[in-house]
Amino acid sequence: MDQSGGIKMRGYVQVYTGDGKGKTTAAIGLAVRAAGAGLKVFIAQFLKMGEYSEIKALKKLSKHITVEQFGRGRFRQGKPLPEDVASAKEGLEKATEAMHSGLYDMIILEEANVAVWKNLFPEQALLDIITQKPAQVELVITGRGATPRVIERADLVTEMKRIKHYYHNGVRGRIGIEK
Amino acid sequence: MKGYVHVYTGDGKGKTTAALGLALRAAGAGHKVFIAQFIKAGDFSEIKSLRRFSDRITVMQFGQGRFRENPPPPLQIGLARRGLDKIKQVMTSGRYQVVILEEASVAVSKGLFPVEDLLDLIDAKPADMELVVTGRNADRRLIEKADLVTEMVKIKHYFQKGVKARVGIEK
Repeated sequence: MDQSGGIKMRGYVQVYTGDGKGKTTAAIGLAVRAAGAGLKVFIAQFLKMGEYSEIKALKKLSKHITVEQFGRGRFRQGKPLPEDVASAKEGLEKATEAMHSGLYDMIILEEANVAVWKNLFPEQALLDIITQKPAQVELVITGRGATPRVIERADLVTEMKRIKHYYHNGVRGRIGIEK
Repeated sequence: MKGYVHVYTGDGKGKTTAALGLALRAAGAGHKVFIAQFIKAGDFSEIKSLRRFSDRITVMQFGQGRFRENPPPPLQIGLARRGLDKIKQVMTSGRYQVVILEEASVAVSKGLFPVEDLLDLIDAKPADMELVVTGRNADRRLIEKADLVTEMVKIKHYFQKGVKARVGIEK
């Protein structure tokens, strides 16, 4: 349900990519904003596994935001294992189902660009989701390394560009700030 | 834990939402977060959601909405000044682990207060506090002083196609 007088808004495709901090937090922030307007959000997290702090917090908004993880944690460099591929594929299927269910106003595919880059699923699978998107659904795709074709098909693209990052000074990922 | 200074700037979508996501993540880890919003006024959708986290996230607005006047209206300047005073108080209270200064870079570029005030806040930051500054046109001296800077670069935006800001997506 939305608050625009019962007339469904048109939905767009947003892509957040680049090597800077802020892609996942921007998607989470969008989900929180959408929930505040009464919209329903489905978040599919690829590659990630485990209780990130944001997932704990999002439980308070579980009436509006559903989060599902389809990864086994970040695998090391090189070829993904068949299990990694299988869980990513399951994620795509579930996200597609959610997108067509009519239950959600916003679908967020977290780290989907990285999943393509790591060969967890082909770029075409992501392009197919964009093609199939119902008109009123907002689709948000995050992760560094968005392909030119994904960028071309998107309505809004922001590149989070790293100007400076404290990781370069040896700072590790901190609970509550990075995870 | 040592705290750092983040700056999110640039003309692309994602600065405010990134700060919002950070606030939520911090709250999920049990941190207390103070968000000071400059320029903005009114009940944005995100503010409605954040009420669910009022035990951990406090939001205060120090603006009256966007303005075009140059120099800025005295009332806006007064509100922004009040915001700066409040932030100093919040920073020294020891009650907050994360402080977010929403649209503070815009407040500087619009002349609501000089960049020195922002730099002073960074100098006064307790060592274990995380400070986050958002808004386009971040001042060069702010960027120099920050530990982490992300420029949200607009590659494409549907506003260019005439799409209006939508409740739940842009506000």
